[in-house]
Amino acid sequence: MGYNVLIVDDSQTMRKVIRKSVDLSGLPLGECWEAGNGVEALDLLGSHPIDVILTDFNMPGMNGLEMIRELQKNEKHCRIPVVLITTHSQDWVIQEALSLGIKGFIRKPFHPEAIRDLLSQVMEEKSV
Amino acid sequence: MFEEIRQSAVGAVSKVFEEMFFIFPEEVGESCDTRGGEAQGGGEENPSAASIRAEIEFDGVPSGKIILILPDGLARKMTGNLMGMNEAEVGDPEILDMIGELNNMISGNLFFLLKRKGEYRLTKTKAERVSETQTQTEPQDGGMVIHFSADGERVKLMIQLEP
Repeated sequence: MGYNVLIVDDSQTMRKVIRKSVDLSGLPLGECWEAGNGVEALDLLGSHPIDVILTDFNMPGMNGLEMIRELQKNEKHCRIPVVLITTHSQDWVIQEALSLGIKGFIRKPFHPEAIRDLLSQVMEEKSV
Repeated sequence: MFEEIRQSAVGAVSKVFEEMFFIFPEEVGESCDTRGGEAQGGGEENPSAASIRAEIEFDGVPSGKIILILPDGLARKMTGNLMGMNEAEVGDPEILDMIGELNNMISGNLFFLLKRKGEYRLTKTKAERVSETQTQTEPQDGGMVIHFSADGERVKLMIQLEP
């Protein structure tokens, strides 16, 4: 059984693009779920076993950083690896996300290989 | 400051179009800023084609907004390519979503490329279909417009800074 991935982005187009990159990665992945913001993501986490989260930062309702803070408050979800995929290239977003313990970040635009490499690294760490 | 923003904007448009869509835009002649006056000219427009306009606001020093306008044909083609869909199957929701995200990526990269580092917060992009007349709007005093040729189509980027 592979790793289940949750993609969180308010843009349906970007979710499809990220999903395509995940599908093309060749990694042993299981189910791939999608959410439009942090609130939807937290809902999904309540009912689905998720192994890694790929999230945008700038989303209405609950942004990526707010979602990560919520995850950390939850004993069951606080150890799920999170990767930030964002257009918001400002240092303060990246720094704050890193201080919250994200496993890495990818700036949009990205090549599919960037997602494959980071997912591969996260899965390797998780298996150890 | 205007020249630095202009250069960063040109770099950001090139990076996003090339890396995400394999389209190589070229800046074309009519780019100008409007310090102390109205913008000049808007480039040649195709009166028969509808266009897509995406607008994003940013808060920082300075604050302002970034507006991207591109013709429907190019927007449809880029959306289809990115999503692996036939152009005929691409609908307005996908096009507007993709052009909004495109402007978001350009804006994020513009601030990343600026030498002057500061804290900028971007709002959610609003994208809409506009008439040809609406595409000819020019920035007020304190703004700039940059024209690109991309895949044979005209792309317009406007940056409006708050006084």
